[in-house]
Amino acid sequence: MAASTGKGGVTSFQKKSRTKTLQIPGTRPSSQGNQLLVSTGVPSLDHIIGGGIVVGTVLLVEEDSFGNYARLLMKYFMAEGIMTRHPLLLSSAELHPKQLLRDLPAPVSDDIGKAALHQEDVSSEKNVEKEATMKIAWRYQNLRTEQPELGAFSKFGHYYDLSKTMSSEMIDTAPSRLFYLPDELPLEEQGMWNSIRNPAYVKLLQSIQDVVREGQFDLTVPQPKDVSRTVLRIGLHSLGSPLWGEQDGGTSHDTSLPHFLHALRAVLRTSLTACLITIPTHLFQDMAFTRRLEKLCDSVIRLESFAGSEKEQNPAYKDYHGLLYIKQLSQANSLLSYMPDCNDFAFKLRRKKFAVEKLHLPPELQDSQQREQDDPVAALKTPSTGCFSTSGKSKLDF
Amino acid sequence: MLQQVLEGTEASSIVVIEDCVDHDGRPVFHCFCSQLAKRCESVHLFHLENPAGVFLEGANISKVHIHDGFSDPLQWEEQNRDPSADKIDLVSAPDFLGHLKRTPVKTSLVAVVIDSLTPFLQNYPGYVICRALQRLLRARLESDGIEVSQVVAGFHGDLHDDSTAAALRHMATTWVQLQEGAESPTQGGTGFHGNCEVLHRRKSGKVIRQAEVYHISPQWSLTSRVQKTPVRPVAQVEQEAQVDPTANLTFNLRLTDTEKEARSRVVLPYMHHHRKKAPNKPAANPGGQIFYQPDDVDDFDEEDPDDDLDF
Repeated sequence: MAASTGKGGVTSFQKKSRTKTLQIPGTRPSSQGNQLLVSTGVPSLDHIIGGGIVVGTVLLVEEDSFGNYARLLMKYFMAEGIMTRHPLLLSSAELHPKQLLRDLPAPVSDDIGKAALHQEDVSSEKNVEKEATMKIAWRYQNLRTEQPELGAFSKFGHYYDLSKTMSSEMIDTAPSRLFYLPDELPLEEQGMWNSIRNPAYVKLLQSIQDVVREGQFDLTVPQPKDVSRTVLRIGLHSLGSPLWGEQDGGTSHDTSLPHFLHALRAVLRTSLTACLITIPTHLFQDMAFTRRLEKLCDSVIRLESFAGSEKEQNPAYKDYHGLLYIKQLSQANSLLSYMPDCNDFAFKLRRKKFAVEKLHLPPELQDSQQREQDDPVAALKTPSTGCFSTSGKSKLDF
Repeated sequence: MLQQVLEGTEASSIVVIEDCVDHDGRPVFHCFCSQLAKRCESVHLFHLENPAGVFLEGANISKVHIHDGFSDPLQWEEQNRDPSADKIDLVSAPDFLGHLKRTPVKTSLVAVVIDSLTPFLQNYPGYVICRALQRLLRARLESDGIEVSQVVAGFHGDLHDDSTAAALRHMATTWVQLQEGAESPTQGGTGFHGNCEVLHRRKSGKVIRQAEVYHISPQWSLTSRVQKTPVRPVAQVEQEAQVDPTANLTFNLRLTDTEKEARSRVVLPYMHHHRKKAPNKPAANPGGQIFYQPDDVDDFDEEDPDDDLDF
């Protein structure tokens, strides 16, 4: 039947299906099709991409200009893997993966989500009391003032506290395989993959295949019934940066990275893995190259941070740290991908939490201008194709 | 910010100074050389575009190791092909760490100054230089015998395309883009001054972008200060004096405090009537209660008028 579109797409509805779905801790079946979902670690992000990352697909995160928030998302992904006891494979060319793993956010409490929900309720109650009791609109007195977080009521993802780091004992419980490019240099030409010219990608692909084969994640190889299966989480941090050998920003017609992504997806489709890749696409001059990479991945989101740009001063954006664009959502095994109800998302990084929210423009700011041309809020609204232009000073404006 | 990076108060592992045709980066570079010679234990200067003397004027020469890439970079002369000589050649891939390892003195707190990345970038793709720079920073005292605290490199913005600049900007923690500058002749000699834009990334993740004005004295000391950007006309519209509507009237519209107090106590028509509630009524949620106070004129007839209907 029709996919579960509509507001609040996360449902607890589980189809009674004849086929045996694998029961793996840390995953849940998606409401669209017979697929398993894995959490990204940020429940609000899970909600907007349709419940989580589909097992067997790739979520591509196009990095912001300085890569801070993409690195944070990678840390959340790895922390979620440790909480759900999924093995990890982390690769990086710039930072040592061990450094990334040492800096993971600590979980809020052992109880998934319940403690966080409780905390949220308590804090919202306090806010309501502090407010002056409403005299005329007293019927709205007890409604919460904060908008409920997207996906706050699911018990799927864990909540993390960014001000604390995860203890090293907890990190050691999850088997992890690290791939640090400068340690693997010098790279020799690998004979098997002749089509991929860049030996760095060949080596990475080789190690991914080895891990998938050794860890028995491959679905094509039949496993005995009693072996408990689990999902492998692959995190490829800052792929396609200059340190990986990408030159000329994609204009050099080097097809190594698209080839690598294609081969990676072939490996992922037949195994129990979920992959998060971050690519600094702002370094690529050629838009077509970026589009090609996007088409080769299943779900794509782009982060744009306000740090260091002129949007930082824009008063309409003062609550947020950046914008998040959903460019593509996966449609593995189904005709239609998940459709989010709105497309304007922004993220904010508070001291303890990273959250994705719907972007709400304030209706009017205190210091709104006399002329609509100068009003920063009006300028953000999509330019209407009216009879007159709202921006630009035309002699006919009055 | 430029001054803080120069003096070391702001830690920055890779500083790239981008200059342009209008504004030569050599004076700023010279300041960095002399300051680093004071601050660090040893400075390795790789100069490829200018003779070493240009940058070493007024600096402590004993701390500086010179790697010569200026006199014969392509090794045309026989005597320069001796590998033990401290020469950079552009024939093989750049390996800054290798050059550093060959010097006899092993110290930490080494600063590396590269006169220009341009000759390397013209012969090798951008990623080779990025990898070489990264290898410099990853060097550790135990394994390689040397530890680099800061790398300062010059970059000519006019000679390279945007993708190379973007790749280097991705790696650099401080990017100084020089915009306009000139000599400022003073009594003691010639100083320099100019505008620049500094983009600095701290380790905590905070990014600071500032437009600054700097001055270089004839003794090669740099002072910089943030240039106040011309405020956008939007924000510069002076706060119009809030017109007070209660002024200049023949009658009094203002309220005293007691009057404000009394106003807040006025019972408005749709307010929650706390007094009318019976004391033993259970405290129901105020969202769903209907409170009906019948007027005197209200004729509350219990009969159902539909009973009259006769079909």
